[in-house]
Formats: sequence, C-alpha cells, structure tokens
Amino acid sequence: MRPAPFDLVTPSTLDEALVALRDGDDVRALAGGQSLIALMNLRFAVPGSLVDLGQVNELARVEDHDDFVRIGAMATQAVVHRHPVVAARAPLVAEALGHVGHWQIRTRGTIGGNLAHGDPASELPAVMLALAGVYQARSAGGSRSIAADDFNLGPYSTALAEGELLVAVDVPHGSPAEATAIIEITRLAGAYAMAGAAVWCRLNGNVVTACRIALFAAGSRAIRVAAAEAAIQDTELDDSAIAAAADATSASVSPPGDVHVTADQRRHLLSVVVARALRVVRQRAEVQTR
Amino acid sequence: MTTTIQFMLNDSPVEVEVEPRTLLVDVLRDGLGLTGTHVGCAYGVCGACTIIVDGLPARACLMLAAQAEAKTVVTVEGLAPPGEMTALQTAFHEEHGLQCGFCTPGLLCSLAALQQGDPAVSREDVDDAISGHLCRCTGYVGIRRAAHRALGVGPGTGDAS
Amino acid sequence: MSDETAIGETRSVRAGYVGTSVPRREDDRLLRGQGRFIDDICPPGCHHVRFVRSDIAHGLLRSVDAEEARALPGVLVVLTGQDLEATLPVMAPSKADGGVFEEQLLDLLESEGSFIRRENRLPVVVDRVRHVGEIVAVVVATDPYVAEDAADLIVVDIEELPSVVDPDAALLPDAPLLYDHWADNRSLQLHVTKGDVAAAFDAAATVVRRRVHSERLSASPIEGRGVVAELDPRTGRLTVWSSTQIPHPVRTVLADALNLPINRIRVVAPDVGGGFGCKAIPYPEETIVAHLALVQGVPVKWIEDRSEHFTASIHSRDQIHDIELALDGDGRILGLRDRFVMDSGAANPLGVVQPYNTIAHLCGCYHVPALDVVATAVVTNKTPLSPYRGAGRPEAVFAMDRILDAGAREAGLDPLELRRRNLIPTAAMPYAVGINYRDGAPIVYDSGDFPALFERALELANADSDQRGGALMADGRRVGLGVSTYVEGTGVGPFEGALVRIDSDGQAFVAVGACPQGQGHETVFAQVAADALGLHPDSVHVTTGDTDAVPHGWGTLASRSAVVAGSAIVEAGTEVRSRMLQALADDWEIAADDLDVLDGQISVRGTPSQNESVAAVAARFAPGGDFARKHGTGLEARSYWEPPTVTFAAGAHVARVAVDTETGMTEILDYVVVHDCGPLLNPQIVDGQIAGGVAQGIGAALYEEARYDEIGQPWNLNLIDYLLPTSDAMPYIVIDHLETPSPLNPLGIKGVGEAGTISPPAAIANAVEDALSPYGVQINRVPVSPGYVLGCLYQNNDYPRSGDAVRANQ
Repeated sequence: MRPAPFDLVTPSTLDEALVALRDGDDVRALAGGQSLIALMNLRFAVPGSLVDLGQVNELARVEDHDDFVRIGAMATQAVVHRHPVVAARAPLVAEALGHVGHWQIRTRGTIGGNLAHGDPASELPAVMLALAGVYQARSAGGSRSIAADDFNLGPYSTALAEGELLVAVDVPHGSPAEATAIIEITRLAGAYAMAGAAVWCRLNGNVVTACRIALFAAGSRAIRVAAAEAAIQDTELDDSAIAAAADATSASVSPPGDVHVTADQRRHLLSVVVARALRVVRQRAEVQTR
Repeated sequence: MTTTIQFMLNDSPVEVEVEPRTLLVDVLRDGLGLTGTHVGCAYGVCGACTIIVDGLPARACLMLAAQAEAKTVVTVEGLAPPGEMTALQTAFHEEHGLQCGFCTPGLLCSLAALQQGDPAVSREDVDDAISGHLCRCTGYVGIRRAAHRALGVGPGTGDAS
Repeated sequence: MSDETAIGETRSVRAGYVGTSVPRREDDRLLRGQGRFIDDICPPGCHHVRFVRSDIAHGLLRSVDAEEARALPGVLVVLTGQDLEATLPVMAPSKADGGVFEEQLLDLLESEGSFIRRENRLPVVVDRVRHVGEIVAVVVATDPYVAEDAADLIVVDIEELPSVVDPDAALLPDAPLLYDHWADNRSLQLHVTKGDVAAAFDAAATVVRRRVHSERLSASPIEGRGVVAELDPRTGRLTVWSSTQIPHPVRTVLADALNLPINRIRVVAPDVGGGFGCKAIPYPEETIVAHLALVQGVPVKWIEDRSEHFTASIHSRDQIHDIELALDGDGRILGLRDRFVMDSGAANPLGVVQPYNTIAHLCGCYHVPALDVVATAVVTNKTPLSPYRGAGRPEAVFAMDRILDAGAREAGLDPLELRRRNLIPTAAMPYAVGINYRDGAPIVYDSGDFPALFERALELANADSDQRGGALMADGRRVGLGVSTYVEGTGVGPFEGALVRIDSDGQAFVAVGACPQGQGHETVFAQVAADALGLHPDSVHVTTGDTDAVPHGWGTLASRSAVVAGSAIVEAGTEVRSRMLQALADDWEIAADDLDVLDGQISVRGTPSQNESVAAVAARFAPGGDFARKHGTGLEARSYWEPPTVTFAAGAHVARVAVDTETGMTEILDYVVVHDCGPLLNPQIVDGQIAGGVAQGIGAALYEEARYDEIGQPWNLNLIDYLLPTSDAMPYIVIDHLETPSPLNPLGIKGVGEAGTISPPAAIANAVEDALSPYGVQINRVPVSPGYVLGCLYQNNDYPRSGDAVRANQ
C-alpha cells in the first residue's frame, strides 16, 4: 500500500517541467495525484521519476477568451466546478464535474490530470467530445492543438506523445441557441458510471441544426455516436427521434461486460442514457426559447 | 535520498525530512506523532485519511509529503484547542455520530472545511460531503443528524428515533 | 426516579442509569483523534511485517526465492513455511473456536447424517495453496516501505492445480479435492428434522419451490486487522495487541502455538475500528507476529492493507437454498423442506456456527409443524468463510421470506395476510420450536409478541396505501412493498467474565472479557455497574479486552455482550454491594435491607440523617484494620456468568422501493424497523446498532457481492468494485421498539448487535419482486443489483425500446 521508490522533481515554471519530462528516466507528470498516487500505492504504476506540477501556477488558470474558455490543466476540479466563467460559458463542464468522484477528490484532482489519464469511465473526455474541446499540448520541442475527436485512443491511452504535457483545454462558448445535458447511471455517488452520455445540441427554433452525442463507460474510450447524431439531426427532438437515436446507439456500440452488467445490458443502458440526456436537452431548449 | 519540507501544521510550523515517496499520511502519523488521521484503504476511496489542506479537504493517502511544502495543514487534532471540542465535534457526540471512531476524524475534517469555507452551505452540500466517506458502523444516521445540526441546515425528517 | 424491578430468577436490579441514553465516554478521545487503534501502537525499535501471499487459487508451492529480498538493506529476516516449521514450537492448525458447542451438537445430530471434518491448514503454506491470499512468506524490516519493497523481490513458484470455484461443481464426483484425505469436498453436513415433512407435503393444497442465493460478502470494517507483539525482557512476558474481538481465545491459541504458559502472555484489544465478525476468529498472522517477537528479540508489527483484507480476512454468507413450502387450503404452513449449500471457501474455521444458525433461525416467527433441513458446507478455492454480522440468520430469513411470498402468490393470498395467518400467536409464548439451538438446549422463544411487532411495522410503513404492488409512479418507476420478520437467538454462552471492585477511595473498577468495536461498552457497562453498586457511572471505570484484567473471557460477537457481560457485571456487582451493605448494617445493627445506596451515598431508608459515603465504607475494607478482619478484606467479586441458553429478540422490517425498469436500479423510499430486544440499556446506542446493521443489510440487499472468476481469481475484491454503501444509499429509517423482557438474565434484556442486518435483504428483495409483479419476475438472490434486475426483466435480452410505454409521462 505504499509506492515503490522514485525520484521527484518539483519545477516552478512550465519550461522547467517540460525539460524534466523530456530528460527524465521513465518519467511521469504528477498533477493532482488522485489517480496516479492511488495507482502507485497499489504498485500498479511504478514510474522511475515524477515531475510534480503543483508549483507551476501558470497551468492553473481559467481564462475567458473571445469565443472559448481556456481551462488550465492544473485547475482543480473543485475550482472549475464552481467557476463563474465556466458556469456561464460551458455549463456542461460544471454539471459534469458534480458527478466526478467526491468533493474531497475534486479539491486536489485536476482537469488536465483527469483528461490525460484517459479512464474510459470518466465523464470529462466525453464532455470534451460533446463540446468539441481543443486540447493544448506542449513539449520541450514545441506545442500543438489536438481536437477532442482525435484525443482518446484507448483505455488510459491518449494522443499525447512521450514528453508531451497537456497544458490546457479550450472549450468553445455556449450560446442561447444551444442546450447540453449529461446523464449517467451509477449505483453509488462517486462510484464509476455503468453507462453515461454527454450531449450538445444547437437548435434553430425547435429544430436540431447540429449535435454531438458522446458516451462514456462505453468501452475502451469515450466515443461519439454518429448514427445517433444523424437520427436527431434536423428533427424537433420529438419522442420518435429520440427513440431512433437510442436505437441507433444500441445498434452501433460494442461495450464490454464487467462484474456489474453484461455487454448486452451495458448496450441497453447506453441507449437509455442517450434517450434521457436528449429529453433533458429538449426540456432545457424549451425553457430557453420561452 | 531525502529532502526537508516545511509546512504549517495545526497552527505551528513544522519541518520534516522525507523521501519522495513518503506519503503525507505517514509523515503525520509516524514522523509527527499525530495518529488521529487514519488509513483505511490507501487509495482514496474510504476517506478515513481526510485532512484539511489550505482550507479544503484532501486525502492524506493521496498526497506525497513533499506536496505539503508551504501549505497549511489541519488534522483532527488541530480542529479545536487542546482539551476542547468544537460545536461540530460536540454535535457528533450528542447525536451519536460515531461508534468505533475510525472514520470519524476524516469526516470531521471534511465538515469543518465545508463549514469554514462557506457559512451558507445547503443541506445538499453537507450530504454531498458526507457521501465522500465510508462508515461501516453508524449507517450514517447519527452523522447526518450531527452534521445537519452543526452546519445549520435543519433537522433530518423522519430520521431514526 | 428509579424503579425496583424484579426480573428473572431471584435478582432484582434497580433501573436507574440503565435505560437512559447516557452519552458515550469513548467519544471524547475518538473525536479529538486520541483513540488508540492498532496502527497507533509502535513500541520503540518496532519492526514491520509484510506478508507475501499466493496469487494462485490452488496449487503446489514449489519454491520461495527470497535471496534478493534478504539482501535488501533494512530487511531483518524473511521466513517461509519451511522456516516456520523448523522454528515455531507447534506448527499446527488452530482449533476452531466456535467448536465449544460443536461436540455436543454433533452428538445430538449424529444419527441423522451429520458430520464435520477438520482442515489441516498451517499458518504459512508449506506445500499446498488453497486460495488467493494464503501466506507463503513473511518479511520483517525496519519500516513498512522497505518491507513492501522486499516482498516485491520474492519470487514464488506455484504449480497450478485445477481449482474448484463453483459450490455445485465442488460436489460433483470428479471434482478436484482440496483436502486429499477427505472423501469429497464437504466440510460438514447437518441434518435436522422435526415432525413428518413427507406427510405435510402430501397433504398440501399449495407447494412452492425456489432456489435462492445469498451472495458472498466481505465484512470490510474501515479499519483492517493488525497485530503488534512485544517481549518484555525484564518480565519475560509477551504482550500482543491485536485488532480482535476475542482476546482470551487468542491468548489460548498463542499459548498452544508458542508452547508458552498462559501466565506469560497478555493479549490486548486496543480501540478496534469495526469488527462485525471478521475479527472474531484467531488468525495465523497473530501467531506469526507473536512468534517473530519472541525469536527476533524486537517488537514486531503488522497492519493489514485494504487489498489484503479482501482475501486474507474471512468472507461470509454465500448460501444457496433449495427451499420448499407446503401450505394447506387456508394458507397455513404444513411443512418446510430446505437443502442448502454453504460455499465455505478453503476452510470453515467456526465450523457449525453459521450453517447451524441458519437452521435454528429458519422457522423464525412462524409456526412450522414439520421441518427437514440439510445443510452442507463445501470447500472451494476461495477465501475461508466465517460468521459476519447476522451469522447465518440473514440467509435463513431470506430463504424463508422469499418462499413465503412465493407461497402467497401461488395460493392467491396477500403476502402480508399469509404471514398473519402463520405468525406464532402472542398467547403461545413461550414457544418451543421443536429443534435445538447450537448450544444443545431446545429452542424456546422465551418471550416476545410477533403479531404486535408485525402490525406495528405495517402501520408505520403505511402498508395499506396504494404505494405497492407495482403501481406506476409519476416518474415511470414501479413501487413495491416487502416485509420480513425474524427471531434472533442472542446472548449465547459459554460465559463471559467480569471483575467488579470498589477501591478504597470508593471508585469502582470493572473489567470484562467483552471488548467493543464501537458498541459503547465503556459507557453501557458503567451504567450497569453503577446501578448494581449504587454509584454514579462517573465513579465507575470500565476496562475491556485485556486478558490481564480478567482471567477468563470470551469476547464480543454474536449479539452477546450486553446479555452475558452485562449479567456477569450484575452478578459480581451485586455480590460486592451485598457485602458492603451487610458489613455496614452489622456495624449499625440494622437489617441490610433497610439500606439504600445511590450515587455513592448509603442511607437508612426513612432516616436520611443516618448515612455514609461508599468511599468511607470502602476505605474500611482495606487490609490491616478491625473492620476488614471482621468483614473481609477488599470489595471485589468475579463472575463468569453462564446463560442458561440464548434469549430471543425479534423484529419486523418493512421496505418500500422504487424500481426503474429501464436501468434496473432500485431506490429505497421507506424503511421501517420495529425491534424487540427487551428493555434498552442505552436507547441511543441501541438505535445506533440497529441503524448500522440496517446499512450493512442494505449493502447486502443491493450492493455487495464478493465475486471470483472461474479459476478462483478475485474479480471485484477492491473498494472500487465491491460496493460498500455510502450515505446516499441509506434512506431515512424509522425505528420503533417493543420491549418484552427476557426471563433468562438479571437485566431482562436481549442482544441487539446483529439485529439490523437480518431482514433487509429479505424485505428489499420482497419489495423489488412486488414492484415488478406486473412483469411476473422472481427475485431469487441478493444483492438485487441492476444487472440482476435487467437480467430478470429482459430474459431474452429483448429490451423495450427506450421511450416506450414503460414511462408514463414523457
């Protein structure tokens, strides 16, 4: 229940951190530690060295830009959960964070740590898919942006290269013509979801002009369901369109079974969360247009 | 390979030598002799190790001691002056909010942090804070009663006895 | 203010502090973080133990290579099973402690096909591994980090054998045997009958049959186990602190294993962070740590981590019942037949306790004229089984309440009405069940009022409302109501030890063999002693769980401490008080009966001016004075109180649930408990015990199951996947009390520690089945997980389309 030995580097600037990540031996970045230290205590993770980002204050900022919110990777989940800019500009992120772990985890857990960890049952990667977030990555050699659709590769596997650090994620501003929702099925507060959906729709009057439907706890990574999106595109999000989206979800996913539910049951639950999320979106859109 | 870290602990400055892998909970318990913070799982789920770091609850089993550098840490021993009890602790006593007492320090720290951070908490916030802790003895009944009373969010309805 | 209450035999107890919710004195230290749990104990120079455990379920241990580990700086020693065989004085299986009644019980049952077999497991594996988690090597190092590093360096070679994991498969003729000297994998079989079951089924108007499963559980107290052992070089005595529920039996085991006289061993249970039965047996870690302290000459400490707990500490429940019920035309029970299999894992340390408790509690509150039960315990390659809070009773109640509901539906009766017709009537008490309890005595429900319990619970739950039977709620969920009743044999023997002494300053010292893990013994026993002695509880100091403080003891388990330890305190305290009053009465030349004592003041009834403090009188009993020479020295008495048999508590639970048929999720809307444990010693503590038990029962009903894969690898044994209920799982519950005094002990009480766990699985499963009655599904196992409900609802995986008419309003 205690980690194996490792070296620890505690840089105070981003550049120092990137150099340490480039040059370190068997090195990992330490963000909030809520996932990594747990794994290390169990000795499931045995890095040779850790780069502690806790003093790199520039990574913890939440900044509003012209048409997006830049959420720094080291901003804690608790701060972002209650942040007024996030509440105003990207409410789905705030709503999702209420489901992440427990308050006592969110006070140390970071947005970037969660996203970079790539847990298939995590809410945030699916939220970024739904909102078309753009991941900002830096390394000692340069920087790049990674679209949400390209970020999650598999279980605990992202598009970040070795030595590359997630420094922020840019979330486009919402607008009154848009509505979002997140629904998950969890047996206990803070437990892993058995199935979850994060949904974004843009509507013109009652009609869906654009949408993104993302799933989590659905398999090896967060995914969008194109067939479900197609099923509600250009509809008024009526019951039959929602049912069609749910059916399309069921038909296009191949989730795993586990100790909680079988693969078929999970497939069914994924269709249920899509339907429920779309109904919430519909309700919220109706409220907004009144 | 050790380093020296310095932080504020229960209103006093402390200085300890730690290895990179030394967990904060071990430094508190073994290095500094404050055994009130307990280890129930060492992977952040049970909440028994919860302390207050810079005013917010944190799992001491998921922090390296080195990460406490320059921080303000409060453990259960520091919630009240020696020999005294806070209104929250007294409420736990009066409402039978503890039985074996193993999970209790973590709960007290969470609730004290909640109380200090926002005087106008809602009952939802209080219940949410409690849900981050495992208790196997009380069924949470006395805990809820004590926390609701101490944080001023009204009596529980239809509660046990 | 106080009543004189004559109860039971010839004793009477002044009800004063007993019966009031005296606030717990334990709280002060626990709330300030000043408790002293096993990991808080670290003698100077203490070394740390890490166990290397098998990650194979069944195999032959070929080699343990510890060379690299031994060379690691900070490592004191690494021991294998072979090393221990050479150095441990008695390398033998420890005796099962529940075995105290076993011989007699088996003698009684002998002629009916009952037997028990003993496993031959050693503290550390020498040649054969039988479950994931068995100890294969022991590391001792200067600190726990290094000990774990060293453990990682040890290479263990185990040649895998075919494992047997399914209990039915374990009974097949060609199943791999866990114990080669056994004919098959049955570790015990118990057969109990009464009446003519065959005739009952022949005459029945309705016969129903169900196969029901109470899944395997892990007790999972928030504090795991731990042992610290230190040899005092000055006295030659070994002190062993253990997070245990049974210090005295542990001392016996250690004395045997270490070949030491009892007088050289002291076992102490410090503050214990929950036990619930998983700390109520002796464990190999205690023997090994104690042995290491002796031979290494340093204090030695082991603290169990959470992962270890899930495979190294006992599991429980895991019973599959094939149960049949025969009813007559009026819905009255004619007979009950039950064949159940208990998957005991690789060993069954407490032998008959859990399965026999199931047998003994099966009929419960109901009149069952004919009964035939066969219990079979089977060994498999999983963690061994032992009683966990409830100890066989929840499984019995689950089987019985399920078959009663099934019988009701088959006979076209309301399940509540069926129960009414079969509850043992109030006038029939005391009621002889017709079979024996496991202590050998015939089961007689000494007191109780089952119909009153039942009706009160229904009333509190508004059982008459239309919120049952699968009614559709506004949000589309289905609502159902379920009820369960139980009896609980409490206060089992063989005895408990208490020492009660008034010191020469008038303050009392009480030591008991019972030891708490949160039950508030220091407070409750101070209340009992205060009333017995005529003192204020603040003048009474209570010590628990220390083998040096009272010579003989048993421990805290089985809902027994209030009854047995409490009665021992009453007996010893009454003796002390009598001697004290008689001595004073002699001096004052009056009758002792004319003296009252309250809150430390003795006075003559009717002449308040003639009084004396207990302190002043107690001082005179000190040796060397005329008073002591005349009246005897000191005011101390001991009692090893033996209950005549168990005394029966009872209860009724009602659950109202909402089931989401799309997700399989169940929410408890209402939960009612009406409980009868006789008079309440401390009402606040009693309610706390019930609430905590209900929470664990809800865990068993909806969330918890310890699962293995087909080769015996733990599948979900971690805190992420093994779901312990958090506060959001716990509804607000209503608790009410009925108090029918027990005639079997001087306090007139019954135990309550386990009560809350007994009915929730049955009540909740009944409620879920009721909620799903429009769909005609059967709920035949707990936990009633979403996966299970979905599996029941959609047996052919033909799920209704989302948005279908299942939801009313959307």
